[in-house]
Amino acid sequence: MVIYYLPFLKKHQPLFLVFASLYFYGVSSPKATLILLCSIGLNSIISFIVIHAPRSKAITYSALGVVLNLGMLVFFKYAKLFTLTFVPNQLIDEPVFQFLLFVPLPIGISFFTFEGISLLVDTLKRKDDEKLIAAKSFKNHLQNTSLFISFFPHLIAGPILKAAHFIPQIGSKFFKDINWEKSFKYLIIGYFFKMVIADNLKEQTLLLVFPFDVYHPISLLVMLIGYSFQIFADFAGYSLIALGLAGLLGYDLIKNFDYPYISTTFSEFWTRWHISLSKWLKEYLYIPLGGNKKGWFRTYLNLMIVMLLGGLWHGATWNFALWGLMHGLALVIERFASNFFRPILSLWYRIFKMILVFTVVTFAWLFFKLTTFAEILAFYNALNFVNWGNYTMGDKEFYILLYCLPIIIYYAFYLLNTKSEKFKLFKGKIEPLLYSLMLFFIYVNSGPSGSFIYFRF
Amino acid sequence: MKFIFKTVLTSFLLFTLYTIFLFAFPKFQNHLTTQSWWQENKIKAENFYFQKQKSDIIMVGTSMSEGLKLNPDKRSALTLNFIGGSSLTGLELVKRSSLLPKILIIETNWLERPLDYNLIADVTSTGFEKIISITPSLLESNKPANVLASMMNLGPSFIDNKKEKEHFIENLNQKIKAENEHIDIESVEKEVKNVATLVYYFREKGVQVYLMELPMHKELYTTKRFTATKLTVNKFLNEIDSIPKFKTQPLETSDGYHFTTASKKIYINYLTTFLNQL
Repeated sequence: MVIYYLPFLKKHQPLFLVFASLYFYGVSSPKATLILLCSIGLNSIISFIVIHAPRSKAITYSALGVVLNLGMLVFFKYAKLFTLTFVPNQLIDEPVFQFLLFVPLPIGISFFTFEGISLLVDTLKRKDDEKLIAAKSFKNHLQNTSLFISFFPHLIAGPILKAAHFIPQIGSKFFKDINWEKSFKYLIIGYFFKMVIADNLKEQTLLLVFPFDVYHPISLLVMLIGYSFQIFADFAGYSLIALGLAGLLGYDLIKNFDYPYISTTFSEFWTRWHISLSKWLKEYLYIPLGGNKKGWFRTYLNLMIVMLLGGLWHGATWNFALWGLMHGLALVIERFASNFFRPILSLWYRIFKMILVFTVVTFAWLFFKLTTFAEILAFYNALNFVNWGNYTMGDKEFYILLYCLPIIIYYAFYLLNTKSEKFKLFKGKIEPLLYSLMLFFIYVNSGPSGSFIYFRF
Repeated sequence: MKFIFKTVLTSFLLFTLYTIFLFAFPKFQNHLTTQSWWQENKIKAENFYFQKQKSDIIMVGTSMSEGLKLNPDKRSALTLNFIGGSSLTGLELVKRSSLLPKILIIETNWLERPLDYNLIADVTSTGFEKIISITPSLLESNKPANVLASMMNLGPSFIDNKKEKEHFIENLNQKIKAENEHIDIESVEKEVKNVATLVYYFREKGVQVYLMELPMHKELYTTKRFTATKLTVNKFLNEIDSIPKFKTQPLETSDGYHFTTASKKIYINYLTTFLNQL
């Protein structure tokens, strides 16, 4: 950061960030850097052509670019899945299929290919507004595109940036403009979520593996809730750290989480969870498919398609597809039911719906955690009501509930803050103490460092 | 900036208060309610390294050696095993601590497992020892969550051993399948060579070294992994003495690898008798 803000480097700040980002990526996965560079090169060239070509040709180039991006994603991410699914067992030992089975997965590929697509589509959409995305010289355009795709705070696990939001921000940044307090708050909450909550919960939910019937059903449920909080703390933590780091470098990234577990509907959940992905899917997939403008059947079908592909985006196993379909089905049922029921505004009804959405979302996380459908069924079987007697809380459940507590407080503070002016004042007074407590727990109660769950996507 | 300054300062104040609390109530220090295997390993490593637990006999190993507490005549003994870890981690820790024992026993069943660099670096990093002597708040066992759990007097979470036994064959088959999957002979050789380097270092320092192959379920002796490890151990450590195999009676395990409580007792007696004869 000191080098970044040196006065004589001001003009070269974007280039400095590109090299720093490529260096960080290269250290963690040197071979994949080549793929990242290919993605940057490909998207820079095509988007530059798109901006300068006549509209009819620009559409073709843009479509070609999207196909190439998707082709790269399919090859590196789904070659193994498709080979295992569609190639008969007697042919699996053929060299070509063995090759496909061992195609390495470059870290963050799902994120940077989606950003590449966003660049190509946004360039086409905003062709007339040249300055917004494409620079006049290819050199500058290449530099901007490189920074947009590789910007290290978001490169590996998002938020997924939109070209039209990020590229106009590229330029000289000044030390005096940093909003220290905002970035500091993002970083403290982010690191607290990751190091104190997610890393410690991970150690507890590790045991959520087959066989399940050796545990008491209540222990299983507590472990599942723990996993639900862990995945939130892990991913929201990463996103907040990304926002904090980007803020220190003078960039503003999209907020990726907005208290998703207080959602009272599934559609609300998807406007609060992984917001950048939801927006991307809506803008670049759901709307082009026709959205809700082509009748009820197409609307439901579009929802299922978007959620299925959204699920597969998360991971190259059919589990993730099922996870997506489960959410898709929930959205369809909710939309269908809304035709017959008027919204009830009572507080208790809202609380009931909040619990319902949280429960479905939490049970759906099983598709993330467990690797086979048989395991998921075994988990449900282990919850059999016959086994619910004679329960005493043990240390595992205690630790899980203890680490879930700060997240519950985080949500409670948000709700109270939006409802009560008095609480807002009170919160303002105790805010430094809350951040001090989080910092204190980062010093003394961090769990074993582990990679972020979303890194594998 | 004022907010940041206030926050950082208050957090240091909280840290100091917590340190004072630990000094004032030493009964809450180093208790046994651990959160996970990872933490158990770290606490074990920290206790050994910082409390300078010098012993005549040290046994290093993995979870298979868990609970093998030796009590030989007139000599002190310590088991430095790491769950999911390796004997190599124990050996490296003993070397770095300079607390050399007279006898070193090395469990060889999983000798191909690599060194846990993170654990070693966390515990032995320069300066950390000095900080720990001033403030015990940074010790793994003194995490506020652990201290709170010890105040609550909680027992371990319930596990149905009867059901666990029902899954024995299912689990065993899964383990055999996993152990027969791709084995990287080069990496097995690399890790066993690392062990051999340390073994010869200890021998040069006058430590008596013994290899110990713990009894397992009979079907696990023929897996690709175990065969590769055993061949490599014979190749690089053939000069090293081994603890004779236990042949008196069949020993039982709960999952193919880990002794049942009864078998553990029998094996402890066997090892103790062996050590007493040395």
